[in-house]
Amino acid sequence: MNNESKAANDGQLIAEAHNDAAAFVQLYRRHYDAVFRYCVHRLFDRHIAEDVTSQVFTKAVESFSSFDGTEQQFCFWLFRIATNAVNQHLRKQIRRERMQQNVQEQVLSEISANSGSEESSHEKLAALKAAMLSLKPRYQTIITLRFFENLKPAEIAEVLGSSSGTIRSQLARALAKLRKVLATEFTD
Amino acid sequence: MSDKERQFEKFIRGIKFDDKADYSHRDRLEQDLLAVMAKQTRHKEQPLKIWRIIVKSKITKLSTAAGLFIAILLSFFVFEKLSSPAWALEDAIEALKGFQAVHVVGAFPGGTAEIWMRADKAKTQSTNVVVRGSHGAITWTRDGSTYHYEPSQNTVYFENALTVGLSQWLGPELLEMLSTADNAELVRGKDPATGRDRVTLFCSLIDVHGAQSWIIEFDVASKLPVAVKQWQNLDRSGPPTFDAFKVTYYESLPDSVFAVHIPGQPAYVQKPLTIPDENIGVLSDSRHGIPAEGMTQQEAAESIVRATFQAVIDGDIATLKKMCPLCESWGDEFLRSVIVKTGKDERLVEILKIGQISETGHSKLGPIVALPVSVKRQDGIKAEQKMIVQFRQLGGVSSCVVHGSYGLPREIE
Repeated sequence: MNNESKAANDGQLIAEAHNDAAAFVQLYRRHYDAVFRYCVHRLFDRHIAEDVTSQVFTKAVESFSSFDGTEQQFCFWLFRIATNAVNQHLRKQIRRERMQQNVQEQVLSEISANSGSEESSHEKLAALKAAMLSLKPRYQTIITLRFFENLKPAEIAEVLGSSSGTIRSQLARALAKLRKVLATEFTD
Repeated sequence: MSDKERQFEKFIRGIKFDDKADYSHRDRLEQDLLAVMAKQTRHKEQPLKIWRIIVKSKITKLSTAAGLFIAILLSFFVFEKLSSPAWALEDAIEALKGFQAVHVVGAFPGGTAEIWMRADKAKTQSTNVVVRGSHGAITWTRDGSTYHYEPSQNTVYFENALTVGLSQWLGPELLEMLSTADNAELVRGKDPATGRDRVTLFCSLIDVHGAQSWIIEFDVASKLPVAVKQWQNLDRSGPPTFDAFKVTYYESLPDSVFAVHIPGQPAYVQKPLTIPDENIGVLSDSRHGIPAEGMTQQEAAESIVRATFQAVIDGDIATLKKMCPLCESWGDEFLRSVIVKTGKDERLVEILKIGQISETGHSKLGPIVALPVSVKRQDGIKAEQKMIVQFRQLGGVSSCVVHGSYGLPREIE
């Protein structure tokens, strides 16, 4: 199928999904992986990510009647809902300072458990987790969408309702902060 | 991409994330979402899509008006627990016992309709039903089939099942059967037009016709229902699907009332087998039904229908609910009374035969099939009942559940 006809079909699927549960289920299946992955990369816990993914799609079903756009915009719309849900979860579930403290303790324990071995993926993950969670939620969102979902700054801008210039500068600031925390990791 | 971005990208490439989706969660969530969507659909009053495509709107509305009559009269009896010295259900039933036929006039969105219905001589179930719409459409039953004539298309749509009528005619048996149901509320008042005392019953249920709710007005003096409103949702939201404003009872009616003459030579088209969209959520739980892996549709349908009827014969309510999840919303006592018929002559005692799949269709969940089951009752009477089975793929596994009966049972031999 060429891109043009695929785009036409995508538009058709969105239109059908407004009146047909089966069409919505098709959309859901297409986008479930991306939303789940985004939640995991933001929350670093697959079980919590599943809970938040459930909230995202339930909210999407409830609000779908107000959505009017293309399938790509639907994807961005889902990321926007997911961003709000993740941020709300982080705010509500764990007080930020407490969480960071726990994460730091966890990092130390994980690094200690792997000491002596060659630099492992586990250590990097733990370090990234600590570093990411030390950032503002907005920076976490931008980093995740840019590097894990491979969205361009202009697309991230659409998800977050901002301009691509703002996103570019916020991305640079976010990376600079990460760089400080992960100095020995990603500057090598 | 800037150098910093490249460096960070290189860094995260060396990290292994546990970010592969678990499809059992995806499938579970899908069921939850279908349930949310089904709940939303109830408030929209959407007619069935396939049926709408074939016959446009007017016929759908009239068909609904015809089909709901079963429920209208069933709901009439759901209030024994609310009886009081001033308003005893027994009085209403006594008042109804002498009547073998009824005539109802009412409005549905887009027009009006009148319904004529007559019971067999033993007053066990309805035998004749005719529904005439104001725009010339007619729905009627004959020889175990239901027909609908749509004049604008000069076409008769038919289905090989009795989908309008009453399986248990008005009388003490129906009263006793339904008196075990709850979910009813009774309010007293006066008819502002006539000043006569009225008792109004509010009730709702989910069955094979989907979610339904009613308001039924009884005249206190005659003990008879005089007006009925029906909605295709549980909370009576939106305009009623049918508003029966005149109900007349007859000791008998001549055959000529039920004679239907269609002008010209209409085309005959079989109506597709469908189930209500709002029931999809209830049928989407993998804990219900049986696996259908490696089986043909006939084998799987036979297997689950046999298990369902055996559960009815054994009075095994838990298995009945597992095979036929729509039963879960009904109370155990109600199921024993309505389905199992504990201690009654009509109680099923034997499965005689399960026939070949006779109709096929498709719901939003997957393929559906209908197949006939012949059974023997305690009183020796043999009857045939068609059942609808829903096939589905949940978590990559094929399985099936019983949706419910397809039309009324009919005596055989």
